[in-house]
Parts: sequence; structure tokens; C-alpha cells
Amino acid sequence: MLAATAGFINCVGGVNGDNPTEITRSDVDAVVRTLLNNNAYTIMDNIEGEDKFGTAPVRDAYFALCSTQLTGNLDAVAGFIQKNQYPAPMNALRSEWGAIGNLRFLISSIGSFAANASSNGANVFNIFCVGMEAYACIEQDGYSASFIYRPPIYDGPLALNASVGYKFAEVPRITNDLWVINLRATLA
Amino acid sequence: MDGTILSQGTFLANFSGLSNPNAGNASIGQANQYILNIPSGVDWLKVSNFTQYGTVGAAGGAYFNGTANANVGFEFFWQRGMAAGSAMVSYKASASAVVSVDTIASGGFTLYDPSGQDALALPPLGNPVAVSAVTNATRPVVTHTADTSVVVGSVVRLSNTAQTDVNGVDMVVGTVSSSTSFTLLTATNPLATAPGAIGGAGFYRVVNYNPLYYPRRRFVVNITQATNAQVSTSIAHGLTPGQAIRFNIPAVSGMIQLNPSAQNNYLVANVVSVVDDYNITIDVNTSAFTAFTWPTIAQQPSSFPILVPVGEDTALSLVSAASQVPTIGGQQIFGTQSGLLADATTNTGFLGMILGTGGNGLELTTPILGPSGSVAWSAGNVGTPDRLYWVAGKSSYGGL
Repeated sequence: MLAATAGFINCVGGVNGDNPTEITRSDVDAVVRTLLNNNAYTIMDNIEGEDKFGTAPVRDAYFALCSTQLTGNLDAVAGFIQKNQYPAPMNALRSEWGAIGNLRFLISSIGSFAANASSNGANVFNIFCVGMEAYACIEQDGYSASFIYRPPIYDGPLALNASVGYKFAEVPRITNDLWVINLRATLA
Repeated sequence: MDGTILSQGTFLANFSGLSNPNAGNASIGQANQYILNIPSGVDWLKVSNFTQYGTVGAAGGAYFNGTANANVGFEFFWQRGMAAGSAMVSYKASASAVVSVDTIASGGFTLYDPSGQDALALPPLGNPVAVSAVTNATRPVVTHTADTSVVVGSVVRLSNTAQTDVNGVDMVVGTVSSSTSFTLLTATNPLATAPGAIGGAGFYRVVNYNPLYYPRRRFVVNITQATNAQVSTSIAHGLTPGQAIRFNIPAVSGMIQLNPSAQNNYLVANVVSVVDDYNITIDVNTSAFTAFTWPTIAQQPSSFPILVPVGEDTALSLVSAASQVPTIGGQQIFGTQSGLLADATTNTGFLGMILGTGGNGLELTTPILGPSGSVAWSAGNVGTPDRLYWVAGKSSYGGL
């Protein structure tokens, strides 16, 4: 739903010669600035600095939802803080990769991308940068989804065929488009 | 389950956006492709052209892609196992009631499955086709290696050409002049400004499906400076009057006054009217705004101008409640609401069959109009569409 409807901006600060380029600090700053200008609330509180070697305080942050393919590129962005460098790493989410400025990146192997959509025909990865309550999932009738399997005995007198199906009673919806921005990037 | 008829129905050939191919003279021309919604998948399908059953073959040939050399099919059959785009077809020869049969390899039946999981259906993105040249025009003409899969209304995505401001942007095909050339965009939605230079070698891919969720953001190719600005999109927008949209216009496109900001109270524009599939007017006076331009090659990399649907203006939508039907090509977008909730977020995915516009008969070697039907045009350029009936079934199958 976010891939189809959320507004986007392209990464343009990189040097890979594509459009969009790979993600850079200036692109992250542009997204954060836009969310701030739109009065989006951050989702995560800051993590206060502590007197521990190799750690750094983490700002209060918006979430950035993206593909695991981007991990190497995130590592290379100026100011990137690995989650093991947080003063309190136990506060990081399991899917979290790290933080850049006011964005904390959550990664997924099924993260969204648009196939062959860059100027050079490369895959374009969608990084959904969201503020608090930017979108919602509305579950109807008290459940979200059900997977239904009927063994062969229920399908016919000769019990030859089984059936499998699913149904959803769930609606995703952007509640405020100003608080969600799709930052599009290619790989370096 | 074996031998079950899943569903049946009827439709009129769709000729939204088409015109008489032989203007000022009576003629018969192809229709737009038509998509049937067939739940649970389909294993066989028969389409009968009720109108063509009752007439002799088109005298002198029906028009197909601008040339009057086609026969008109009146019965079409497909079953699972046949290649995408193919069909077995019966037709009548020119001015004759004698029935002939043939097979077409393209423009017949193609499974519709936007999940991309059915090997017999069109993939979400077609294979790359080599491009040799792209003109520097507001409607760029693309020259490519032979490819018959592109028809008027197809959506294509260029890459690797020198026109870096056109690459990666989904654009509708406005005209197809031959199997090696087509024109991007239609007469009503050209780019605001030409790309800046010719595009050389590269590739294009056909984009076979829209994103699943409606309403969708769209690339904006032009915005006029007017009391009610007209906004043009690169592919069909599917919006209805009353829907609310916001813009994201990069600085390189000029008209940044449309962008939401604290200064304009986070501007929301409402759709006042739908001009056609690619154009809307909005309730924002852009007369004093900076002129809109399409980003040039020299300005790349950049973001592209887009519009984002964000809701609906109830009062405005109630003014034209009857037009609150999200459509593309004259067909309501599957799964969308009509009326006051026309802007509702909805998953538009379904399983079905694409009825093609026709292709060359393997035995005949000239075109036969496909199962999407044909349109009879009068000398006054008034079109009368064929009526077609279809029946689809489910069955076990084997063989090749």
C-alpha cells in the first residue's frame, strides 16, 4: 500500500551515476527536514549517551522501513551508527540495523523495491520514512486474516481434492500523507 | 470441480480514446483490449462475437494498427497450456459468409495475474527490448527492435537511454506506427518541455500491471497556469471529481508553490473535473505560479514531479456524485468504491483474462481482430461497438 500510494523523493546525493542514486547523508537530511517541516512526531525516543567505549547517543527518530539489500549502503553513509554502538543496544529492535541522523532503519528480506525502475534499469529500493501514526491497519470483524484448509473429505464424495484459501478483513490506510515519505535509492 | 463452468458474461467492445481509423468514411477498426475478472483462475475460455456472427466479413479489410488488412474474428477459444497471447479463432473472409479458421500467436488470450506467480500470465515487467533512438520531443518517438506486444495504451518504462529524465518514468504509449516504433504519451498529455536531447541506445520494458492499491500516486508531466489548473499525468490517473491530492514538485520543475508547506497551510488540491484518463483540473489558481517544466537531462539526477491522492472533499464530490466512479479506459477499476467513498484505499488485485486486440493469423499471415471485438465506424465518425458473450470454465487438464 505504501509503495503504491506514498509520495516519494529520489536520492540524488550519490555518485553511482544512476537516478535515483545510492543513499547519502544529504538525502537522509532532506527527508528528516521534510518530516520535521510537516510536523511529524518521531516514533522512538532518544537514547541518552553513556560513558562506554565506541558508543554514541542516538537521536529521537522516525522509522525508515527498507530492504536487507541496503545494509551495505547504509553502513557507508556518513554518520551511520550501528545498533551495537547504541549506548543501550537492548533498546534496539530485532529488525533494526542502525541509525542515521533522525532515522532508525528497520530492515526486512521482503522489503519493497520497484524492479528495473531506475534510469540505468536497476532495481529501485523504497525506504519508507514514517512518523508516528502516519499510517494504520484497520482490522475488521475482530480479525485480520485467516488461512483456510479443507481436506479432501469435505470436497467431494471421492475425497479427491483438497482446497486451500485465504481471506483478509484488513485495510491499510495512510492517515496523513505528510508524515510518510518514500525515499527511493539504488545500490552503490 | 471437473468441467465446471466458472462464470459467463457479456460486454460491449471498449473503444474509449479511439477514433475512426478512416476518418470521414465508414470503416471497421479494432477495439481496446478488455480484461475479464474470472475468480478462482480459469482453465478454458470461449468468446463469441454476437455482432460478427450475424454479418459477413469486413469488406476490404478491417483496420488493425492503422492498416485496412484485417479480418474480423467471431469466435475465439483458449485453454490452459496454450501460450500467452494465443487463441484459436474463426473468422469470415472479406464480404463473405464462408467461415475460415486460424491460430493467432499474439493479441489473443493472456492470463491476468498481478501477483506474477502464474508462469502463463504476463510477468509484472516485460523483457527488455532494445531501443535504437528516442526523439527529443514532448511526445518522444521510440525506435526499437521488432516487438508486437506494445499497443496503444500500453505502459512502458525506458532505461539506459541518454534521456535520463525520461528513463524510469512509466509512460503510456500514445500511438503505434509500426512494429518497430511507437510514440510516448498521447496528444492530451505531452511533456511540458522536451527532454533536452535525443536519446540513443537503451531499452524499454512493458509494465503489465498497475500497483495493487488504489488510489495511486502518479508522475505529473504538465501543469498549466490557469484559474483551474489542468494537471497531466504520464499514465492514466483513475481519479474522480472531488478527490483530494497533494503535489511533490522538485525545484527543477518550477511550480513549487503547489508543494504543501506551512506557508500555504499544507495545500491540498481537489479534483474539479476529469478531462480524460490523463488529465484533471484542480481548484487551485496557478496563474501567478512559476511555470511548470519537465526536468531536463542536464538537471539529472533529480526527483520527479508527482501527485499523491490523500482523500476526498465531500462537498465537491457530492456535486457530481454520479461521476464518482474510478475508471481507466472506460472500465471501472476493479475493487474500487463508487460514490462518496470513491477515494477509499482498496486492493485492486484479481485473477482474470486479458482479451487481446488481435494479431497475424499463422496460416493467413495477415491480422485477425481479436477477442476484444471490433468497432463499426460511420462516415460521421460515430462508433458502434460489437457485443460479445463469453463463458469460462474449470477443468483438470494434461498433455503438453
